Amino acid sequence: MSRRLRPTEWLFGAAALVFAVASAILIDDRAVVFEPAPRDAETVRIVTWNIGSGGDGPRPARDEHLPAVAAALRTLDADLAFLQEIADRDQATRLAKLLGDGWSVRTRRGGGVAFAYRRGQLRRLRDGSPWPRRQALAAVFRPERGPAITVVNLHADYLSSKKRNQLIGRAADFAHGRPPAILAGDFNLDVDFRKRGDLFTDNLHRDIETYNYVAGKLRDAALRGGSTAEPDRRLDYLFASPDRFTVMRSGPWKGKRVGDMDHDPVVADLRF
Amino acid sequence: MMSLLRFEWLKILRSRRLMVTAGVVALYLALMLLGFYTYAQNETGGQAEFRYTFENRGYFNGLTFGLYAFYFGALMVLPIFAAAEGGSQIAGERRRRTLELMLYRQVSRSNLFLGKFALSWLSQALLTGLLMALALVLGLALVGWGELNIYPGVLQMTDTHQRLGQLAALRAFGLAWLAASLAMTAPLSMSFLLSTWMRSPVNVVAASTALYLVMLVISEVHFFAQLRPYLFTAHMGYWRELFRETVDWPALFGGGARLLAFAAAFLAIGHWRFRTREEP
Repeated sequence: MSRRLRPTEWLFGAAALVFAVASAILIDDRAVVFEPAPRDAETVRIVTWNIGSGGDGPRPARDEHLPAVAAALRTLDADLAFLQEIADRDQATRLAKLLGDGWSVRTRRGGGVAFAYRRGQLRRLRDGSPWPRRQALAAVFRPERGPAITVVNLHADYLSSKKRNQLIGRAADFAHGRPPAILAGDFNLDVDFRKRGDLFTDNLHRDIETYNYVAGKLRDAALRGGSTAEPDRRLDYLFASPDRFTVMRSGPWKGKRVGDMDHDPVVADLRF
Repeated sequence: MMSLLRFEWLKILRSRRLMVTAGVVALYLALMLLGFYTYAQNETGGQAEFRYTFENRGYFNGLTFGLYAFYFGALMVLPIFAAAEGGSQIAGERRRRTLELMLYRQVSRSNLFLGKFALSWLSQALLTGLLMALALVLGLALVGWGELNIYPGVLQMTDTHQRLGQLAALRAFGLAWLAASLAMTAPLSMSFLLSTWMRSPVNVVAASTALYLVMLVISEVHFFAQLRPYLFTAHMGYWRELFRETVDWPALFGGGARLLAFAAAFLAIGHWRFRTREEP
């Protein structure tokens, strides 16, 4: 038998090549990352960022990381930042100083979650917030243009899917009942379409329940952004009232972590 | 050529494999139905300690069952049958010493290889249709049809909530049958390739099954995401794109093209090997 290739084999080989090239052109499953770009006055730029340190469980932000955090927020020219892992109110004050004129940072005395904002006013909602202190903060943000927005910043439990479900579920109900609203923060649940069904644990199953509960009420504004935290997890989310906002661009903003920080900022440009 | 095809088709129909695989499909569906029923009874409705849930009794219906059963079946059950079918063809004929008899006839090796592959693929396509039809009929009879709701995270079929009316869902199932049948060309051609290299059909079936499962596990674990373009198993569920309110056609065709690329490469090598090897 001749070992030289016959036309049938060339045909199959050529078909393999053509199909491989076609699939490479057609399949595009790259994550959509955020790159700062100019925006018009009708668009608010929102960012959520866990600025704490990684390791065994959540650790508060380190003071030596604050200049980098402030520089990133200034470069981003964000209108409102949802921050998590603020150590205490003093650290929030130090961050506000580093941010410079026009910026304010609001948090509780014990720290935890915080809002940093400019070009607008923020009023904390102290009543009717059914969640543990430090884990969530609700406020009304009034940008220079557009209507007032209910904003809820949360940092869910990193160990218990049940506690996550309760905090996120309550916060979703709270935000859903006060449109237009934005619910953002470190949800500590990893529901990423690209990840398929690996490591199908009870926690993942429960987190899927939680995610869909929120997604049924609010719109995931940074969908398809991919991972936001080490190691390759999507933990940080930004939800907004559906039909009230148009997402102009969104996604994790890469390359802004310093030291042992383990989360990327997740940014969305939202237009009313 | 036509008489060869007719003869080969009769052999497939008369083999015990077809009955065994049909029986396994029925057993698989029965187990799926049992699991589905117990899940719907125990996990939905919002338990007191886990209040915020999207699932409810109305979410589960026959279409949901059909989709779940078909999804797992097309990814993990049918490819094993494809491996068995491929293994029984070239290597099986050789073990039974019928291959030499066939080659004595006025049939070229090329026609024999391609004819066997085409008919094996046809039997796999029919088996795929049988699995889908049984799943849908069982779902209709025992659970009842309705709207098909697919949520993010569940089987990772979508990243946003999809709601398909009954007709749209059935249309998607019909197209998914064709698309999933096309997906079977990749594991089937892989087992054909192995069948031209190995002498024992048992070894071919074992090697094909093991290779498929290893590649499936690797492609499903996100840790190995960078390897996915090189593993055909990463695209075996490409037809899930059809279960969307707005189908992403480029993604669908891209997944199909990737599988066909692997199948064509396996067939090219398998054809060459079968044509050039010496029979004892």
